[in-house]
Amino acid sequence: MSLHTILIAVAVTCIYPFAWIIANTFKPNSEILKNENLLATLIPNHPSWTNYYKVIVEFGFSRYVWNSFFYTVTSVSIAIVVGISISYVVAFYRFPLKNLIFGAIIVTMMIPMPGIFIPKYIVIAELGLLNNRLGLILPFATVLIPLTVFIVKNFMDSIPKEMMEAATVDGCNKWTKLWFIVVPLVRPAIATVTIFHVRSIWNEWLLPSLVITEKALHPIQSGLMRFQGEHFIDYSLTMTGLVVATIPLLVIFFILQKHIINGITSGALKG
Amino acid sequence: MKTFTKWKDYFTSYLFVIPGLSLFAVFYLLPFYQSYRLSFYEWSGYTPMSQAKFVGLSNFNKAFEDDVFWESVIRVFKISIGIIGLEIPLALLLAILVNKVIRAGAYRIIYFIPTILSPIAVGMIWKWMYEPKFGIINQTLDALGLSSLKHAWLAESSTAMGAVGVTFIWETFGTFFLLFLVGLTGIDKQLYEAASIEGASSFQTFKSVTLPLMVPTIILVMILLVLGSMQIFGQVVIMTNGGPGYATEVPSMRIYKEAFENSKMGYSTTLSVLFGFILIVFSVIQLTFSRRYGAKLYE
Repeated sequence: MSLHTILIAVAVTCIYPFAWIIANTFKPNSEILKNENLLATLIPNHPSWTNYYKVIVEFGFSRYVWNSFFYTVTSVSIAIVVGISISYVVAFYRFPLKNLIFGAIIVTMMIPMPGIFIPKYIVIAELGLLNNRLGLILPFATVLIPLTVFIVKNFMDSIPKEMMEAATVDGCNKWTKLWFIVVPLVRPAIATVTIFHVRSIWNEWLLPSLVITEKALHPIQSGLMRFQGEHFIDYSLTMTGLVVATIPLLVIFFILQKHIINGITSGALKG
Repeated sequence: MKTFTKWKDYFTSYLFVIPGLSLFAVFYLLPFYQSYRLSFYEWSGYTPMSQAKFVGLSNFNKAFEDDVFWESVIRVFKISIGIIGLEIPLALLLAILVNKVIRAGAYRIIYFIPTILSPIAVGMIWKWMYEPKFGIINQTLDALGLSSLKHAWLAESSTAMGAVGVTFIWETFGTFFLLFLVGLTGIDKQLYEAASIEGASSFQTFKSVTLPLMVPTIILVMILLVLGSMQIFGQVVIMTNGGPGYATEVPSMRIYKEAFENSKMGYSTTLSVLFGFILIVFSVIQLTFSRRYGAKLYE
């Protein structure tokens, strides 16, 4: 009984802020500012969708969501394809400098963000990729490669070598072995990595806020930050923006939560 | 002939790694090279980089005397210790409790929700919760009859950094809770049975069975938390932007402001080289330490 009291109290602190913010998105700003008690505030006096209409249509959030969707799909796909290719030859073949290449890729996971974001911005600027979609997609994909290689290569190591030899005897070459034998076998690893990649790209805010200043190219997090920075303080609209920015990820989470939690609990991914 | 097929095989293998390596060269190696080079230059970022002025070690000399920067390093160090001190016991306690109750699946999902949000979203949510007038923190204190404890949390320099730390804990504890839960389910049930036969109290069981067996997981979580919390940035940008005064100024913020507010690209890269170096030293120390105590960071 008392066990559950503590657990439920923590659960409430995880959920209440959401409930409060979602309730506020259905209120006009003036109603939010009125001091109500903690429970009454969860029920809007005259609920309306006005804020959603304003945020999505007038403030261009449909555009930001689309941009984020585009950046996420492209960079994650590049990272997965490139990452699988590297993992494959590292796991199954021998070639000069193999261990150096693999080691270097894994070590980059240790590079701390504060040490690299300014120089990365400078390189993107020097390449003329500011305010260019490629200026986000390529660096995003690069950041995702080490984790992909790390997880997928580990998974490939568990594929029996005899299976690969049998495939060679059956006339498979390097490419066909990858696509017809290895990729189908590592699908679970790919699924887990993809989910975590989607989360990190959807939530990425620092690089976009430096590289993309043009409103039409903003991903959702930049849109949200810009929204907060604008001259007026309209809580109901900002909160609505936050809900719009978060809902797509929450939906994915609730559909795939088993895989996500298994991904962490299997020890493959540490956050 | 044989060497020819061997090299042909090597060559096709390289074809698989080249796309990835080119991306690495451009977006990791080149920035790395640039940051070391630019840390010896003075450059505003507005002129072409070829016009950057070589200044030798003067950026580093300036950095070593830059009190604002070193105070920000100490600040993030302190808050990191605070976060670890609160978050590890919290996550471990919750994991132990959830491990005891049956039908605990819902808790695993609910506790994980904050971790899927972006630092921007979390920063905003907590900024509103800390809001002095309509924010729910002060309202809760009112409801509990503790009005005397009310603060303008983010506007007072004594509470601002702690308030940001709490936000960080809220956002991240779900992951560590899950890691602890995994560690706990790996403990042999017979050990608990033996303890209860010997008449051990639940605290004694915790001290002599659970805690020692959880040491590897605790160390792993500590490593992840130290590195994560010392890089805290997004929440700070949204909640306080470093203020009031320098009360929540963290190193990432210094690096950012020197580059984009003071237009000192060269000096900013000097600071990022220094802070990056500090973080890497930390992770190397921790990795060595963890290997000794059997924590498996990479399995």
